[in-house]
Amino acid sequence: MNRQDMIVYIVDDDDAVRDSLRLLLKSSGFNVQVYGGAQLFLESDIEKAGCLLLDLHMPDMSGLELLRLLRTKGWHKPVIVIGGRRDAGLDKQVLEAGAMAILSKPFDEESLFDLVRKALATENN
Amino acid sequence: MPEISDFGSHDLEGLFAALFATAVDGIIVIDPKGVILLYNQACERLFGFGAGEVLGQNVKMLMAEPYRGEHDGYFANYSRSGEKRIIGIGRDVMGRRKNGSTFPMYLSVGEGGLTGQRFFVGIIHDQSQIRQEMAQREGSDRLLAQIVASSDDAIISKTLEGIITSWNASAERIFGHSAAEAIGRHISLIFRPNHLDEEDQIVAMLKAGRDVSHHETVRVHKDGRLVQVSLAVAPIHDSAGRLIGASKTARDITEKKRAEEHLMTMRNELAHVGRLSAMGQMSAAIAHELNQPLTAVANYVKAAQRLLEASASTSPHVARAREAVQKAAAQTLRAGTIIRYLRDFVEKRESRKSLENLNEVIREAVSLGMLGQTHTSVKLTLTLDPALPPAPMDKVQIQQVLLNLIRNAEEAMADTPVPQLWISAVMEGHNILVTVRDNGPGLAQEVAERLFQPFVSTKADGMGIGLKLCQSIVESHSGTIEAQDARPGVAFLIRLPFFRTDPAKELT
Repeated sequence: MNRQDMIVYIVDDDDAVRDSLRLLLKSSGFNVQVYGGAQLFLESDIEKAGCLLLDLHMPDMSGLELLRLLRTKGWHKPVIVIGGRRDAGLDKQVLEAGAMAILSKPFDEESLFDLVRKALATENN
Repeated sequence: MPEISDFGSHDLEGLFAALFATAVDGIIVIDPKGVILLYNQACERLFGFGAGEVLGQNVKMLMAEPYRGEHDGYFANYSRSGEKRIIGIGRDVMGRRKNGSTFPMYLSVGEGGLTGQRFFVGIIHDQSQIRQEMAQREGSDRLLAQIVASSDDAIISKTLEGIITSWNASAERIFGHSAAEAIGRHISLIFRPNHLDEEDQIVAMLKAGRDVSHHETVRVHKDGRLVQVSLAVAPIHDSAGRLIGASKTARDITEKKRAEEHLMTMRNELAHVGRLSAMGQMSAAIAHELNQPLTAVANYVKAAQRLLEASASTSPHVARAREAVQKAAAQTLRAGTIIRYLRDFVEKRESRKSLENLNEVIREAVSLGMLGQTHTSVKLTLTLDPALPPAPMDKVQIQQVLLNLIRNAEEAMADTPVPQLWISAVMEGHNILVTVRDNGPGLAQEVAERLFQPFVSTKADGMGIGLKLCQSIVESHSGTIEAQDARPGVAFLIRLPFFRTDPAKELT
């Protein structure tokens, strides 16, 4: 499958972070769909091939809770979790819940692109 | 006034008969052998025998042992030696009633001789009433003495001049001086040398009719060490109501004072650690808040960089824009590095997590929280699951969160008629759920939505930092905190992850 046919879903409650991520990924040629919260994401069409960039710290439902919910619902696309700070206990839970990788803010764009490309390649196989 | 010689012998006889019959005390006349010659009505009441039963009998039938058996001897002794043991003197003896019971009586005996015949007149005053009263008084005196002796408090009485007149066992223990050493000495014995005027002040208060109670001061033990005491001083009046002295009760509160000081030190320490912790948390919170826009800026700059690089324009403006954006990217990187350093520094300094029993942590926080409250009537309901497993946490930080929530609740309930606080800790899936709920006025919707944003406060003097710090602390424990409408009031829900598998590995 071509990269253009795949979607990078972004769930982040911070408007600026979400919009800037969208712009950055689009400027590198990725297809992007953005959601301001877990609920908005769950209510949308999320069945297209792709991967999810998921903010960890969100009100109402945290990234970890959304990830667990998605996995129990049988949604198995690759998930990259973006966190504010590193915490060994939390990282462990995030990985155990099924995240592919954790990225700390702020990150350099090459690490992001590498992870996204890797995620989409997994999805392609 | 008529004299006795004015009476005729007939009148005199009638007078004596009346005297004899109406006397309240018993009157008995016996001959030298002890045979009863006369026995009045009062005697009938006292002894229960009628006159007919005793006249002509030996008087010893009215005596209780040992007087009964010895009575003949008394007479023999008196007849032989003329030594008066009782005659003209009177003494306490025991009488015996018809029914065999005995009673104390004061017996005075006079000797007389009429027309050559000697006789003895006994006047019997019943002592049972007065003896009973005395016994009662002695009993209550003894009881009082026992209470004074066994009191944990020092009980001291003294004259107005300050001379010690009594000194109980606890006074001996608390001040070190024995009763023998203290009684008769001036009360300044237990005063600090430079505080001798305290006694004058106390006496002045007593003279003004005021009681001194719960007066906390310092006294000196015999060995020189200072003793913290709580004094109660009450005036002693004589039967005419004159102030003649004071009784002093002194409670040793040295231990209590020490405990209070310890608690105060603990609170100060917690406040100090709390301030340090709050500073760290504030730095962390600020770092976190700045990190968001910084991430956005970095992303925007890199997007712009990419777009410019992709542009085929050879305009010198585009070239300069490229250069500017590249420099901006370098600066965002630098800002990011600073924030990361700051955060690493805070987290390293603050990572003091150990396995704690959350129930204990909550209990301590509650006692500290309720201690500092001005609003003493808050009713607290604590529901703790005793089966909660130990969880890794920075105890001081979690207590800061709880203290913060408790104090917020107390402040919110300042005008609530029956303020109530519910605190609970239960297991909930992967988490331990801690709930702090009040029945205050609750939160306005617009405040509720922005509750965890920094610099949002419902308090007139609030900075809006508290809840932000709480959130920052809870998140550094991989937990979440949220506010729920719990009409009438607010509930704060804290979820802390509980690691089922080898929690020791989670410690960093």
